[in-house]
Amino acid sequence: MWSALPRAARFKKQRCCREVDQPVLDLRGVSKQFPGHLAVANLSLALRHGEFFSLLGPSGCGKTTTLRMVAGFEQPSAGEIYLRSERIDQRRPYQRNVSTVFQNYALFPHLTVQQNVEFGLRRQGVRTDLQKRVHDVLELVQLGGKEARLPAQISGGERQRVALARSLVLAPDVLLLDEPLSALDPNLRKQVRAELKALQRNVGITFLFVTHDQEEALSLSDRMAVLAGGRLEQLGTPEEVYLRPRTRFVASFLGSVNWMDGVGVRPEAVRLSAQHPDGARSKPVVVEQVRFLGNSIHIQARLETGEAIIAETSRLQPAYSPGDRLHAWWLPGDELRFE
Amino acid sequence: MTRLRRLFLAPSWMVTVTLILAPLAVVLAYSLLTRGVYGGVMPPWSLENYVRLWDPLYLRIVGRSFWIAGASTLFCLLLGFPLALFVARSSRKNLYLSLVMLPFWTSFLVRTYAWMFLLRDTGLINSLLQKAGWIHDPLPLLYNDGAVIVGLVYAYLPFMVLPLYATLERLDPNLVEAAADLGARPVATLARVIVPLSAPGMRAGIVLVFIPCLGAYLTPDLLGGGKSVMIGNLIQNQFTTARDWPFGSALSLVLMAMVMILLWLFTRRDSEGLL
Amino acid sequence: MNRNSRALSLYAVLMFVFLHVPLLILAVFSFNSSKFTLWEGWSLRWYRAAFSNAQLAESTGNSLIIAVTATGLATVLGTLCAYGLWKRRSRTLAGSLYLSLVTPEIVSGVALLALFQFVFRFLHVQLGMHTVILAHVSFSLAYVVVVVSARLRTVDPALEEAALDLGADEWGAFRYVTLPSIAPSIAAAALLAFTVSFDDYVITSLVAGVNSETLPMVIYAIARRGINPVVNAISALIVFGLGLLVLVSERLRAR
Repeated sequence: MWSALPRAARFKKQRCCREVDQPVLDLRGVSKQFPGHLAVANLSLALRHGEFFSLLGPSGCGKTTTLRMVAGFEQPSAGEIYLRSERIDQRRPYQRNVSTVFQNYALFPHLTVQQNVEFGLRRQGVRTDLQKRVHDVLELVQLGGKEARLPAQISGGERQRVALARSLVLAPDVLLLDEPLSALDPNLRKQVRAELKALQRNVGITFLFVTHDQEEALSLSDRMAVLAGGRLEQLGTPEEVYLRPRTRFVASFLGSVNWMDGVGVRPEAVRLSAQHPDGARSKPVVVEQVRFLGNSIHIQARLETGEAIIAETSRLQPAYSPGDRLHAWWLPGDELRFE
Repeated sequence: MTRLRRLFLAPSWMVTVTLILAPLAVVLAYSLLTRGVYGGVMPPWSLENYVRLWDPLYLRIVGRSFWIAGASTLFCLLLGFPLALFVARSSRKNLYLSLVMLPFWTSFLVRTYAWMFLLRDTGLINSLLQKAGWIHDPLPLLYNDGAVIVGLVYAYLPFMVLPLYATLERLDPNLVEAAADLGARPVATLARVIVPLSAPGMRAGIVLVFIPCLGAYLTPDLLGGGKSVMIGNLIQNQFTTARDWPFGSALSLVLMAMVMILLWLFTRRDSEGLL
Repeated sequence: MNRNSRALSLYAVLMFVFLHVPLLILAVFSFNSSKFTLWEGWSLRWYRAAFSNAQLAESTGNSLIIAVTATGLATVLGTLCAYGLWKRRSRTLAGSLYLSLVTPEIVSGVALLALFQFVFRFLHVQLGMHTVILAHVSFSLAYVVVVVSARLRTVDPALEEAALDLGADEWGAFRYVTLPSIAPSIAAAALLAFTVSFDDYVITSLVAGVNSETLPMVIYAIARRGINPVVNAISALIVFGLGLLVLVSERLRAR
């Protein structure tokens, strides 16, 4: 439904071919030192025009601090930040053409939806087009008709859309999103996730998305960066990061891993059968527990060495019972090895 | 951002330094000087004024101040606790709270005068008792320590009720239920669960009542006549009639010191501040 | 309702009587036609006496001028101060304001008197309305800061960040986002400061000059001499007036 809206074209900036080659947002060697705590260490990232880029990592990994440095609420202790080749890290937030969607939306409680969305335009002194631009962006996020409501009178999901509209109407070079889905009901999250992705495609603005949920990052991003302890662990597409993790940390953070003799294999890559095919690696196991999860089955099995592994199979596979002696096998290509 | 903040704070800094800190500095200086011939101050510098405080006459006044403030605080605590409990348990908390606080905000002077009206020899209480034939001569209800205590309790009771209410209101009702479940009767629950848990509120209330009572001036002046001289009256006297500003300054600083010590003693365990 | 809560309710009623009856009695007896404490009949003579008294009228005027000026200054300064402290705590400033709150009135009064007299040696000025106004600002400031700070603590700091993010500068963020949010509590603080200033006796009596008598000072002088029903009348008016102001202030604070 999102892609059917024609008006979104207005938000796409026409770029000449040369500009498209340059990164829209460039972080070079950015660090942030707080008293007693190095939040971000020597981070370098380059975002391309129109991409959906995620910063993924556990709490305290520095992703929010990085976002705040791009927005202008923190100053880097070292390094530079460039927005479309202009250096911005010394500028105040209102001097940067980036806009932030806050985790709790930060809608101005004393202003209506209309007044919230037009806030930035009014600060710029826009008078003529004001009504139309606000109306258009509210249509885009499907909040037409709610202009006169106060934030307290609309739902959480609607508030998020107001926050999006408020930032998008200013046509920023990069839209910064700080865990925007975490404040929503879990049921709502998947739906909003899809809408957000479609919106970004439609509007064509670069999104910098911060999250600690790997499923979110994997499903939404064109590219993603995994951070831990303030450092960049890996940067790549979701496939690269999930299937070819560069460090143990990235492997474990992006999904479950069975570790056997220093080698990792993901549960969905482990299969169980009485015999194993040639060319596959295998180990004899005894089935311990079979857990039915609805759309899949987790089979916990114990190796001869005493470790437990999990194999994930579709529920349409043959059933196993505790006590069965089988072979757990996987293809060598599915192994994750690290130094 | 810092420039705006400095601009915003600058006038308050000026007021604070000139009208709050500087006056105290002057008082400190004066307390170390000597009384001038026609009032005012002059050298030599000495600790003479502080030494003078140890005169039994003045010590008695300090003692009386502590006794009156202490009694007032105790009565406020005893009278205020059940009232705070009532408000905390009621369904119309805001209404009752306003009813408690409202008299406080009207006028201190008026409220003190009200007790003059009630307590004096030809006041309402004595007139009624005489009319009813219960007494012949009027009871000396005014111009003594007792009247001052009544006046102070009346004035500062809301200050005790408010923090007690705040603590009691936050009390987890499950705790009271648990006590009952374990076999405690209401009195035991009160004594062993509710009262101990309301300790922070009691500490705050004691501080909020005792300190103004200790430094009281108007109440002992109007309700005590010349008979219940407290530290506040003594200080005022030094700066007006007696014209002994250095001694008055020393008294002021000693009073401040006592207030500070009490504050420190009672609030060091509580982290929340007003500002 | 069980026996215990009935006892508690009864106690509460008694306490409310204790708190309000003295003032009610005062008000009722302001309508007493007799000068003595025996009730003789309804009369407005004491109110007429109060309104025709020149000294009372002048001192009320002084009180109002002082209260309005001091309140205006204290509210503006106090709001800016609370905002500045909200952005970044200053332990010295907060500590000094706290000091002003806990200092007994008599000490504040004599300290200000001592300062003024010291300064006047060099400035050839006397005690007067200006010294009273300065004194009132000094003790009202802390009240305003406390009230506005309490409200600011409930304001989400992300709101100002959002304002900056959307293109407002620091002053714009304050003006368009934070100030509207705290406006009711600023009004409440102002009413509070007014009440405190209007009613002050101790500090005012020490720093007022010869021509700057305030209403509390006049009331005190009359009351000192004994019971005078005119005081009853003035008291009733004050209680009613200030009580109304406080009710409005509380309503604003709750918004």
